[in-house]
Amino acid sequence: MLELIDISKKLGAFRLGPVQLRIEQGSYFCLAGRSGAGKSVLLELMAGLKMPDSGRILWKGTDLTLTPANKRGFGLLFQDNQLFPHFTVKRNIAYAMHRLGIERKNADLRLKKWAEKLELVPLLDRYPSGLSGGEAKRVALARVLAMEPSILLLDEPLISLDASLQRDMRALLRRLHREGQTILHVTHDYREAYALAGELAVIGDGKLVQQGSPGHVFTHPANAFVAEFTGLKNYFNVIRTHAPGNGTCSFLLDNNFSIELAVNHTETPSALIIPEDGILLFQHEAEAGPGSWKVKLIDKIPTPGGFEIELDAGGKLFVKLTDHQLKDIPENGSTMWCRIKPECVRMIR
Amino acid sequence: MRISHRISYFQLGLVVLGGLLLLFVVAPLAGMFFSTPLKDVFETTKDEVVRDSIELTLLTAMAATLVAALGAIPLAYLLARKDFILKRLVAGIIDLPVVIPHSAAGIAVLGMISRNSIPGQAASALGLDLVGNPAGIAIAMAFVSVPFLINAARDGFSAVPVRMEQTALSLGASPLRVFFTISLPLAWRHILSGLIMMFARGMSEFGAVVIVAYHPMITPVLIFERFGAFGLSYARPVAVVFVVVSLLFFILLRLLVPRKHA
Repeated sequence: MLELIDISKKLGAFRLGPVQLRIEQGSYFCLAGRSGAGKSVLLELMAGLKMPDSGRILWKGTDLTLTPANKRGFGLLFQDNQLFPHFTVKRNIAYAMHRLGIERKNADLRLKKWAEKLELVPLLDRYPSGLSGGEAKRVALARVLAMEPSILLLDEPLISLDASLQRDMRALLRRLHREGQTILHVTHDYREAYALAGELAVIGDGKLVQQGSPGHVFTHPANAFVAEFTGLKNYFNVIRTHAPGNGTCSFLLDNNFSIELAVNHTETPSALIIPEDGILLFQHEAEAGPGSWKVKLIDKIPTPGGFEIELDAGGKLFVKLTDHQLKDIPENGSTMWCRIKPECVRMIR
Repeated sequence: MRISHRISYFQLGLVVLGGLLLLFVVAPLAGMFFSTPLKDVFETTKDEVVRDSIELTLLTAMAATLVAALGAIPLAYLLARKDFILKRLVAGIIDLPVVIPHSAAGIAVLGMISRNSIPGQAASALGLDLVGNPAGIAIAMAFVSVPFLINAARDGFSAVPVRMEQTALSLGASPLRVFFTISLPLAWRHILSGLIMMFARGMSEFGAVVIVAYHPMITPVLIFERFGAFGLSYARPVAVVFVVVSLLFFILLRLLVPRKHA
């Protein structure tokens, strides 16, 4: 198990931590956050490329805080691969084995094993300059795997690959994990994290904001930041609730945005999530019925499944529509009426 | 449709001005070659004094380059990779020999290696008098030409991505192995260019060397001596032979610079 205890680091105006983190052996751990959140710094601290200002890093109970990078036995894959341009693919993969003092015969076997596993055999005598993006990524991965690292540290491994190569790489990473490899994967893409992680931590402004299983983090975001990062659009902090006793409850949300829902009020939730497909839009007030209110149409943004409609409803509100539903939507700037399906609203307590 | 490629006045201006400068460099050298009879050049190549001086010049310049490289390359790596107090001052000091008059550099070197100085006394204790000695000549050459090597090597090391070195470290290589397997080979083109520039600059040094050692005579000093004693027509054939030898070495060494991995 890799443990980070009260790790902090100051880099100019940026301050990371204090961070507490536990990564179980054999797990697939994703560290997700926006650019500049501090995830790569944290990765470099784990790899030993940077020293923390305070705190400790333990691996299976052994303190590695002051152990230099070349003696940690952690494999690090940078997003831009950093293949050695003056070495062939073969020498790139064999680089770590030379240091480990592995016998020639065993080194050759290990080289063959990873070259075959990552389909690199035809490329062994090529130089990195003659490789495609996907091939270069596989070579970099083979090079780090050939050292048989105790933990594989991946810095945005899918970032420069096209969609089909990303799919292949995801499948490869899942397979490595199934075979027992402990993986720490840093990413800015919540979909990537959701697809791969067994355990997820979200980092923002140098601090861990939430940690848990992807299922839990995505359905119960700890705050607006996590909700937004995980792709949830209509997340609102609840400031006050009022239940007049007629089977409805009004919620005062962020930015003085208030809504009334036909729900039984029990206790004040800390936040509300209104799923994008949980909102109905109407052209006329008469169609919308009770509990609806007037909104202004700001923009229509094409998405793979249809369109996302941005509304000004006192606060910003996003609605998901299919191509077919878009036919009834007027021009940007028009006024419409919207009603929320109460059964869709998720309350975060 | 026919597309005409017109040269703009700006491009024309660049060509004219650049061409004039090129002429400024080529014309004196071409004039020297054309006004020297071939017979004189051949006779000069047989002159023992000229041959000895060229051999001495090449050997001292080469020794100066190789010995200085042992300190210059590590210093260049340090300057490229580490931030330390007074780094800018150190970088400025390195460029000093280029900006000061070379005769003044010769005086400074002479003061450092004379019998009264600590290095001079240490060399005397080993039975070596640096003044008027090829070793003294090499020191003077190294003093004025080492900035070329340090600056080229520093640029070379700076061009090697830090992350590539970090990758090698994370693969278990020691900092020494990272230096010899990653940093040095990747910066080698710059370093080799720096070595060639340092060698060429040392070979052509006159001002500093003439103060440290008039004898034994390196070729630039010999050219000066022949010019002073016998005039232009006696100095010119030696100059032509030396320029040809220098060019040959320069071209040969340039051919050694490896091509970049595309």
